[in-house]
Amino acid sequence: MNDNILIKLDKVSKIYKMGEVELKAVDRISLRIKPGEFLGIMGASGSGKSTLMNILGILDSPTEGKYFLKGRDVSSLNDVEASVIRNKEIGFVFQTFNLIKGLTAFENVETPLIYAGIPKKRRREIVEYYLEKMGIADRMNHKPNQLSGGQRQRVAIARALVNNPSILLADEPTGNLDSKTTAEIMELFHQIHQEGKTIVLVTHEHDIGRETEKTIVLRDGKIIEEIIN
Amino acid sequence: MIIENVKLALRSIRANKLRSFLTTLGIIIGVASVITIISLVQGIFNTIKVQQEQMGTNIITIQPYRATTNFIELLKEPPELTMEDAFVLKKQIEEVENLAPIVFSSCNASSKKLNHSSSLYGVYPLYQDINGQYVETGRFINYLDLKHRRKVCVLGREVVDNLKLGNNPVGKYILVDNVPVKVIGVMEKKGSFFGRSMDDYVFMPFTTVIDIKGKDLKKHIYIQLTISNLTKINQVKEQIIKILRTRHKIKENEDDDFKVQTQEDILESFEKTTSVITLIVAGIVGISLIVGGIGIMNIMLVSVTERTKEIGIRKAVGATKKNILYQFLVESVILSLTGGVIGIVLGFVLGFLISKLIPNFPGMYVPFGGIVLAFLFSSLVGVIFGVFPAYKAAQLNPIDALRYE
Repeated sequence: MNDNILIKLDKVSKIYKMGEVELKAVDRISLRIKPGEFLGIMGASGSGKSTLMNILGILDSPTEGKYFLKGRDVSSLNDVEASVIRNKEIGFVFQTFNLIKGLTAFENVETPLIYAGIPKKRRREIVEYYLEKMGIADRMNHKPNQLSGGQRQRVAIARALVNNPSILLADEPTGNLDSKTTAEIMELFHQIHQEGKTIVLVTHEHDIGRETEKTIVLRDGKIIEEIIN
Repeated sequence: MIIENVKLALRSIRANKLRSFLTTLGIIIGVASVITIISLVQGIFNTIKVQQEQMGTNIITIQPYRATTNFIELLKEPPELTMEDAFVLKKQIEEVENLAPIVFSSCNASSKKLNHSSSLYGVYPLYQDINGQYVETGRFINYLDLKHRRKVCVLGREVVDNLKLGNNPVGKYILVDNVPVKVIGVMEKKGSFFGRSMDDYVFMPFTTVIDIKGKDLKKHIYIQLTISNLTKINQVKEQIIKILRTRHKIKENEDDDFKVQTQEDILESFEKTTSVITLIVAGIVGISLIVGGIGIMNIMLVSVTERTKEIGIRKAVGATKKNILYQFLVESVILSLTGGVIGIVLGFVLGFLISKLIPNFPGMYVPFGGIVLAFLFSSLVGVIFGVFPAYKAAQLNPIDALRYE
């Protein structure tokens, strides 16, 4: 295995069987992502980008093919192994923010650290550091419904980063935001990328897609185009 | 992790206060009722026990008794114990310390224009020593009274008060079933039990009572005895049974026509009664706890559905199935345990109030084991009825859960 490859997908397919009909949501995709890369995935709805994202994030496992993360085969893991990787190696940012509504911003960001078994005092330091970095330290005792969309997404990004994951997976992170906030959030992603984090960003907006280093375009579960920006 | 789970559970319970309260109500009612009833039953039992123990543990009581299982038995002459039985027992059993027959009846005591119905006991002088109950003023019945069938009596305080005989009734005359009888003493006050005074009696010489009430009374003769060596109590009991069976010419396959009871037997039968009551209560409570448990399961299922998205998020950020399982299990255990604790406290308060409301109620008592049991049982309910919803939550597919709105 090449040490300089973070993620390697080897003819990965995800096939859904609906009675007699087979639906190939992801069709033999091979892909390499280097550490520090900022990759965009574009495609219309139904193109398979969400399924690909779920496979990359170990929320789903491929029907065929192999997925190597840091050289380790992670194509089929048991619940505990998958949970550990989701916790330590992957940071998720979603379109709908997906914050836990009963918890404060602080507690939302703290959650991955609890599952990682980090002691309370250390958790506080880490959470405060990332909230500060995202510029929302003053809102940390607010519940999600007391925050604006942009603030919520900042909390979500802080949560994705607290365990210092190898890769940040962002699924339409600006889909629910206005253009001004979109610009701010994209600026944050660039900043995080500058600091060396690997980012995979799924979008259907061409403007956003153009902001990444490289963009792959999906259609019917296949890569139809690779654009170097 | 456990601390975090407890915090999460408390937060979710607090977020749905009314719902949580209604959910635990089943448990609260179940546990409160068991604690209330146990506190009262045990209170009664304890009082009885103390009283029995005051009487001394070396007393044996023999009374005529026939287990009536059919009509033919009912038609037979009722069994009786005779004076000869008493003398033979006294003579043949070495361990007998004091032995005296006693006869029970009722009487109408009156003085001037006052009337009072009371229990009439025909006793021997040994009654005092056997029962550990002594005269307070005046004197007790002696052998001369017995021999000469004297018309004298010793009264319980209740009779003295009812007939308004004043502070020192010794020397006064009252009518017992219209026979003039001289008061020679007043017994120590024993107080009341369940609103019934235990000082409502007239003691007269055994022979005098038989005289006044006639031969019919013979079937009400009991024999009381104390033994010198408590360790031999069961042996003595066996001996008594053997002697009386021979004297009463009871065939091998026939039942005794008398009943020999030690203080221990009496306590035992009380204990049996209390444990039967406790078992019945436990059964009812078991059912109510199951119903309460179903309530908890129901609300936990609702909670899991409501929080599907949260479960998806938690899984996405690294929660294992076990983490999710514990989170919901801890919540249901806390719910049922809270119900259990509230129930215990409520049961205490109710038991206390009820024991105060009933006049002369001996007072409540909750055994420590009962509290522990209620505590364990309610947490067990939380586990049993929490497992299924928690398992359901843990098994959720994170992708589906994240998509859930």
